[in-house]
Amino acid sequence: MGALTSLAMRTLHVLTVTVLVGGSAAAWYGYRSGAITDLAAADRFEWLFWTGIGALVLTGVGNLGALGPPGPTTDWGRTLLVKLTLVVVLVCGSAVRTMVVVRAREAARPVADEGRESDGGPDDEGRDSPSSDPHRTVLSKAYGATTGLLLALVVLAEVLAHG
Amino acid sequence: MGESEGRQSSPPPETPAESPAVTAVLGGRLSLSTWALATFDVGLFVLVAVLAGHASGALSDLLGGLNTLVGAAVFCVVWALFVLAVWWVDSRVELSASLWTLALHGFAAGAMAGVAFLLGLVAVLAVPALAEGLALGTATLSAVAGVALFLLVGVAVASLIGGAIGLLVGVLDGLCFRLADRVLAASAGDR
Repeated sequence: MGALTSLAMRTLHVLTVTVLVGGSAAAWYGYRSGAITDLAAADRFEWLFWTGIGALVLTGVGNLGALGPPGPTTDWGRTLLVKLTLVVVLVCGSAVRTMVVVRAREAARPVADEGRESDGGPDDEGRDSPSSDPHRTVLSKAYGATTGLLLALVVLAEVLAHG
Repeated sequence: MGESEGRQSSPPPETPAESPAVTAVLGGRLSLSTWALATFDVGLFVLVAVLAGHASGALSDLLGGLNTLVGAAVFCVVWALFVLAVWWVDSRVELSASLWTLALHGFAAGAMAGVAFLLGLVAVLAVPALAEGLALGTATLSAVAGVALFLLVGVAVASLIGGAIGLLVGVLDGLCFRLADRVLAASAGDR
């Protein structure tokens, strides 16, 4: 039972990272190339991203508990320290990025809403979503940095798993 | 702390962009900023605790005695409490309010969350054991009084610890909001 739980935790951890890396890379490419032209996509991804971060923290701590990490003075311990610090940087930077998306939507909404009634429901977001044009550069940079940090964390995770 | 203070005026209110699942739970009033900031807060809270534990070399002992499923359940409860606390603050003040206002509301929400966590722990751990003891006649009234005294002191301690965490979280959330505005202003200046 314990081994099965640990396996489930590790699987969920890896799957969540896969979704976050893929999602942020797609958002970076979409905003950089202009393939994504509204803020609704960023808004949707942020919901997914933070749900994923919650799952990552949960499963990450679960993995540490199952492994029984060695002290901070070992090579493994030092790598873990760097990884945890990078995760803190990722989480803090992502909070600001999400607030940028929220504030950009707030700023764009009155213009987008002009002349139409809106119930603000989820189905309403895809249509007439505020354009991301004024914020494309900042969003592509933010998602690019997120992708870079996530990839660095994947490399550190590989070092921790396989040396 | 009441409604009279109202939500401080600021740019037009965000049209909520809600996930259907969480909308069903909180009646359509959970916004992206609430979900994101609450998860940011709980994530940072746990990460800082793990970092401190690892740096001091105590992490292995701390996590070693914890069952994985119990740990996951506790994390989910704490996550839910953070969401409720941030939602409570967001429904009363805008993030553009002064950091002092956010800190005070954060303290109140954190104190309530701390007490709720303690009461949950007591309900899960102490109450069933006490009820069974009373039914079997092995628990005395002094044991009940002991639990009551523990609750009295525990509520005070839990509200203080929760309040202190809530205060920090309120300030952090406010800072994220201000930093995002600066990023957008700088981005607008570059164009």
